[in-house]
Amino acid sequence: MKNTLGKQITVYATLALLLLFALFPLYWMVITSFKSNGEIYSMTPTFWPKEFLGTAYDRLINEKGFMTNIKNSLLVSLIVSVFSIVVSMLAAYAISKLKFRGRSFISKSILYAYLMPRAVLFIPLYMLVTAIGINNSIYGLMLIYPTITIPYATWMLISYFKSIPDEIEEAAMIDGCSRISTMTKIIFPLSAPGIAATFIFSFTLCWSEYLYALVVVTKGADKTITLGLSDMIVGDVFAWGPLMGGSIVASIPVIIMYLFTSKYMVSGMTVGGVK
Amino acid sequence: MKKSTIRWITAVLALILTAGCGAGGTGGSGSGNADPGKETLTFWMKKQMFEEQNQMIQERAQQFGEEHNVNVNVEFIAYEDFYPKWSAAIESGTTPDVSFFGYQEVGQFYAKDVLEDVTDLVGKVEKANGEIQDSLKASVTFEDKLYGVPLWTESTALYYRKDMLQAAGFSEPPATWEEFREMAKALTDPSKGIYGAGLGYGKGNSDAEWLTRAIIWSHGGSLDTEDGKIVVVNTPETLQAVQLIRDIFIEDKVTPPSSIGWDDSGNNKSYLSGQSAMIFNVGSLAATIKNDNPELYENTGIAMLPAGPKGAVVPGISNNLGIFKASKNKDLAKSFIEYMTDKSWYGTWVENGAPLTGPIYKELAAEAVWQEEKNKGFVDSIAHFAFLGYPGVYNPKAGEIYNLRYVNDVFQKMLLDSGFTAQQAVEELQAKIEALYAK
Amino acid sequence: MKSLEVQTTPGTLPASGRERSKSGSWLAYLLMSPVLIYLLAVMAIPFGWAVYLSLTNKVVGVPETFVGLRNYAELLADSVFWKAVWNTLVFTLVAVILKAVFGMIMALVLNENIVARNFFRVMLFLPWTIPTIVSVFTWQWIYSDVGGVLNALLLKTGLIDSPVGWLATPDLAMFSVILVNVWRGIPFMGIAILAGLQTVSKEMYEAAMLDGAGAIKRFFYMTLPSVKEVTILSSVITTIWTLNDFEIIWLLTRGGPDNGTQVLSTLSYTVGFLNMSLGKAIAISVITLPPLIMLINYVTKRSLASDK
Repeated sequence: MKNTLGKQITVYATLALLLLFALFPLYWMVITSFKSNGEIYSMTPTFWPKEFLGTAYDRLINEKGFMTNIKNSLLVSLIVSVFSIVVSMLAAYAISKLKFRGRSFISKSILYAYLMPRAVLFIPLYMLVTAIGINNSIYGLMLIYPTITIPYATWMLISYFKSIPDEIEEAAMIDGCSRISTMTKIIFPLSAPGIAATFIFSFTLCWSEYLYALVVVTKGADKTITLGLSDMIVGDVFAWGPLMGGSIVASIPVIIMYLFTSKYMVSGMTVGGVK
Repeated sequence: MKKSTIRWITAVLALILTAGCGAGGTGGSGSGNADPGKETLTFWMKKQMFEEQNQMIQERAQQFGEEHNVNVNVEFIAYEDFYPKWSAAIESGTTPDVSFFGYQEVGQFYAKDVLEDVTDLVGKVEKANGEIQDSLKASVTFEDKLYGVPLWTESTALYYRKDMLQAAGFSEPPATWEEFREMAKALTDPSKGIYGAGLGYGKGNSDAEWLTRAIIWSHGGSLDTEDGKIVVVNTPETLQAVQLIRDIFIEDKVTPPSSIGWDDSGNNKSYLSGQSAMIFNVGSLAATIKNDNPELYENTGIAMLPAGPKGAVVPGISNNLGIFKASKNKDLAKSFIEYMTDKSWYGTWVENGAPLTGPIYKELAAEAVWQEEKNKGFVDSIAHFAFLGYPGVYNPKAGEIYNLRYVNDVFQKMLLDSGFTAQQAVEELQAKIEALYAK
Repeated sequence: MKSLEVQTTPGTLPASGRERSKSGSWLAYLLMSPVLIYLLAVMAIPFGWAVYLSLTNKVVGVPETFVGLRNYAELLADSVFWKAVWNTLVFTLVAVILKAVFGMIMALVLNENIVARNFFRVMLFLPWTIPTIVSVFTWQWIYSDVGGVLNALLLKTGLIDSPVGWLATPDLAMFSVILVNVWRGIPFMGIAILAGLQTVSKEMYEAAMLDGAGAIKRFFYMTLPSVKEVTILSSVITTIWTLNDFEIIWLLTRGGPDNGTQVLSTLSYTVGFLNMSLGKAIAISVITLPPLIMLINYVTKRSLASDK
């Protein structure tokens, strides 16, 4: 009993510290978005706005472009991450559970593809989407973004699939299940938490991507959320209110996506899946 | 489990498909406005701080399109973002027809041979609207040809808090750099967190690059050449200026503690919050406080930069429109630029950005708006403009030296390491710049 | 993985193993084909293009000429390059280790039976949801000497007597950019490891608990081995991301002061896009490939060999 109490205290104390570190800057963003410029530019910061001003949010809602940006980002991020997850699941299954020639080389090559930084690849990739004729549109981004999600997703999924003991799969095969059905009926459901986590991070990788979006998309109707936010950073005196408010608003869809997927991140269904 | 997974995936897919259709639809109708039979002109414009100015450009471009029966695509791009966009566009052959260029970039791209000669066009524009300031034309002239049409200027001025100066017993802003140093000392009070000289040296800081040049040039020094060949950085004049800056930071300690890390917004933050009594900035700050903080605006004085032993020299910033050689509609592009520089419209546009955006036409500088107390300093500066490469003419190498931030690098080193003397700093600058000119 | 293997090996019949490799081959290629085709189609040419350009004097807008290894030779002789190499090492190593440690702690805490667990998971995930280009500006304010909350708090508690320029000296600036990177990166490690913990069969856990193993023992013998794979792999991915992290440093310090936070990615950007010397900029990136490839080879060898 004493042991559990001590443990409880440690757990909650650690949690509190983690929360403080994670949330303080966000708290700062939120209160900044409500402050007046005069209050933002003061010698000593105030921890609570003297007066809550909603002007920043009025501006965001009335500026049509911002909602379009969110819609574009949502579309690109969803399509790209669903596509990436599906193909990565198949590839990761093959790499982690099957034996074949060239396995090690192929799996390594997938990660090698990840090593070139965006700052180097954006020009050739832009040339590629231009050649296809989908530059200056979100379709161009849909073509490019899997380069940042697939290598990541494949590798994370490999590690989740590998943590499922082979004996479970073998038991099912002895029961007469085919390869494909063990994959879809056992490995995938058992790895649901990992798949869900990989999905949500693929989604956020696309959501916050900036450089490719900047280069590929110029026209207003196809701009993504990061471009919309950076449009607020003009000159050397920033509009802090809308900028901070905008990023708060921009994170809401991600949080909804997270809540949507988070129920698959809970264990318990693992046990049911085997039977 | 399995069923729910499938249901989940189908739900997402369905959502995407319908959303996809929606987007496809709007995208289609968006491009549907663009009549495929018409020619299209693409124009990349620097996004201005003032929304009114952006809107005016958009409307004007639309009007041009209607009058000439063409489509005009205007894209507003933040200055920082231009470099990756130009690079990708040039390499893939998708350059816009007309683009904004700072004069440094006009030089850089002239050297890469991707810009159209617009000498005739400038002549035409001047004939129709009156003379353009000579210093602006000079900054985009290479081998007697012009590669950009000036669109507006920006200049750096001194901002000071009238009340703080008064409290310290000064009725006038500093006229010389020595006076500036003395006043900064009197204005500084670290116990209250107040500093006289809001000078910053963050690595990317462009204000610092310009201001350092202003101080060096007004002392008769240089960061380049006189003839485009022999680098003349290591001179007693440059040293004197560098020593002055070093003393302000290290001997007098009249600069805020974090100023070595400031980016371009650092000095503005410092001024707005009352930490610095004097700073140097372009007109953006004046325009912002006029709207956001009328009280501070009232209390703000703006003057031309202090003078050195060789008089006042102000680093000029000229912003231009240029035409890419790869453009398929050069004639159209030229008439578009003529249209955008037409004085009757242009005068209103440039005034909307005052005092950040200054006019190119000599005649417009005499307008009432520029004679206002707080705007005068900016247009008066134009006559004292000097450009990168000074005392020689501007050349692409000088632009590279600016872009590489050699000045900020060396000054950061000097201001962080008290053993690093002004003489050493000047020698290092001489060596680095020589190496670049030698390439 | 060791402990699992001990349990699984007896169950693996030699016959089924052999059969597996036969039927596995074509199926494996089939399953991998979408990923491979996509990566080959989209990445192969850009990758080759980049490596080739690093051997030329390519400047934007001007056709290139082949110069062999000259870019590399020039880099190796440049003291700023070596400073960037060192800074990259410090930045990456410190940030990755901190992210892994705190990510592990976050996962363990969130895996406990705490009240409102789902709510706290969302809260701790939040730093990852804000696009870097914006969160960096918030941090810039936090670090500021006027109106900056970090200095205000430290002054109030008496830990310092005058404001500190968090971005104004090389060492502090390095600390500050690492802090921002860690702040943003912890959720990724935390959630990835948490998902690994959740994937691990609960029974094994409970069996061990019944054995009466202490908490620390349980962590090292049960928990850690079971998520070792995912921890190592997510650390590798994080290493690649951290190494190529550009926005945080660029927006906070531009690599200053006095090149104190100049890393390879910021150097490459300065050379390549402000100066348009593409060939040389790409060479800076290519030079980081061999150590990374070695790291990946090492990790894949370990993780893929475990059931060979």
